[in-house]
Amino acid sequence: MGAPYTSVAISGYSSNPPSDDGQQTEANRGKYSTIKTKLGDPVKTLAETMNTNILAAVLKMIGGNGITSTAISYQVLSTDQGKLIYSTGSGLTHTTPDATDVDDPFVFGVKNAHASSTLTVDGFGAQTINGAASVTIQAGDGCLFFTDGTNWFTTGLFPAASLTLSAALVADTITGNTSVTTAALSASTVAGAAVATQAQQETGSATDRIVSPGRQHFHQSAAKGWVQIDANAGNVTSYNVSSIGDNGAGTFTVNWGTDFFSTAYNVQATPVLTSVGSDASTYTSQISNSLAAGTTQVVTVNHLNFASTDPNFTMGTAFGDHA
Amino acid sequence: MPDRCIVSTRPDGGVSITHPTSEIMTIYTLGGAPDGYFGRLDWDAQIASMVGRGIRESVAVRHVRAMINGGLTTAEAYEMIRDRDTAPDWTGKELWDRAELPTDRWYRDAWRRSHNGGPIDIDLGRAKSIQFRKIKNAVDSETKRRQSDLELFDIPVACDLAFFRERIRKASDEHELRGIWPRELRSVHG
Repeated sequence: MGAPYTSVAISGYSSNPPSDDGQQTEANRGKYSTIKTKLGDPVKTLAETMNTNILAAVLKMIGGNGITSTAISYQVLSTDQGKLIYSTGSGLTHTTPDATDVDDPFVFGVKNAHASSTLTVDGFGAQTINGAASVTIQAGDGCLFFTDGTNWFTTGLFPAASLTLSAALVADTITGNTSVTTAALSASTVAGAAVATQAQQETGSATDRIVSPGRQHFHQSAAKGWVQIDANAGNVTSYNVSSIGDNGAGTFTVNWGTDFFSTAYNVQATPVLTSVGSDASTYTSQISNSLAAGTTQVVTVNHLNFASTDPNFTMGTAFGDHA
Repeated sequence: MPDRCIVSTRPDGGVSITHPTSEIMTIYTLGGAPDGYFGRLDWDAQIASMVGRGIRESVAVRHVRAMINGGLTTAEAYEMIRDRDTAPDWTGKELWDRAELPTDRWYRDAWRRSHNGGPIDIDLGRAKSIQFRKIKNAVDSETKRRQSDLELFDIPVACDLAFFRERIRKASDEHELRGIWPRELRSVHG
């Protein structure tokens, strides 16, 4: 056990060839049988043993020994050096081999292929892993186990605390602090973890959620509608207004596209006078008492004679909760 | 702005003109958003709210569906505005080109129209009241302005309102009526 490769020494090799004085005598004649025995055979034996040991060593390298799949808890064996223990079951606990038995170096891998369950790897006996009695592998994650002959150590283990990284990563991506790109950000892809829901927008108290453009208008502080109306309602720019009713001089009905929850909403209206030749300060736009959840009556009055009068423009905004 | 509007006659004979907005025409035809383009769009609550203010339930349902999915033709969108945004007791509801509307709003509150629809006329009696009120308002405005003017603060507006009242009473049509205005206040509107 231990080192994957076993070193080999040459055997039967003669490092002391017979002396040769250069004369053509029987004693100086080189014989094949002698060369084979003293040189060829030892080299052949050495090469063949090295080949065998190299093959054995490769099997002990990580990835060289194949994969053992298991759906149940598993005792990793000394023969599993270089293997990946592919784990499909839920709630499994694997146990390392005895570090003192397999000795250093020894490596094996564990993959937790379960979709949601964590996997525990327990050190043999009192042996520790990363200084603890056991380690937890998150669903879909995996790591390598090494030993120093006494305890165990991992590399590539994704700590549970790092799972919170995803939220920070999203935030950093949004603020442009990193160049990390993520999948398109939406409530569905973030599973509600980071993007404020409609209810959270309406409650308006969360400080750990991100407001998305498609939902920001649910917040109580967001205007639920606004409108600018010219003197004869001939030109209207608006948000959440289906139509403007021109009911008389300075008298308009704003028909909201989406009704408010009740009449308990707030409307501010202002007359704008750009060419009226009288005192503009005497004009005010008022909200009539016929306020309804879906309509708002705006009347601009000249206080000099208490008559409704066309301003050049009427501007209005509305805040509240929609039905 | 859409180039058409809905002209209606109120129970008192007055005229209301309902102008659809560009945004609603776009949404009615192309659709809004599932969450509610303008905000929370709880179907049942929206329908109940509209029915509560006198809109037929079938119209309320069609409105909510169109707000989300669109799909109305332009003609259907105008019909939706007519059915939802004009009061149930209004009559003579007609789709007009906006170019057909009177451009002079001086006597806007004297506009009258048959309950069966048709053209907009000016009620001369109401127009006379409006003309007198506008003259009185112009006098008051000018007086108020002069009170803060260094040169004019002690020079009152010379306008015999009783004289103008008689002239207004004798006017035979709105054109003659419109010409009755204090010379001193030519630059002042009512």
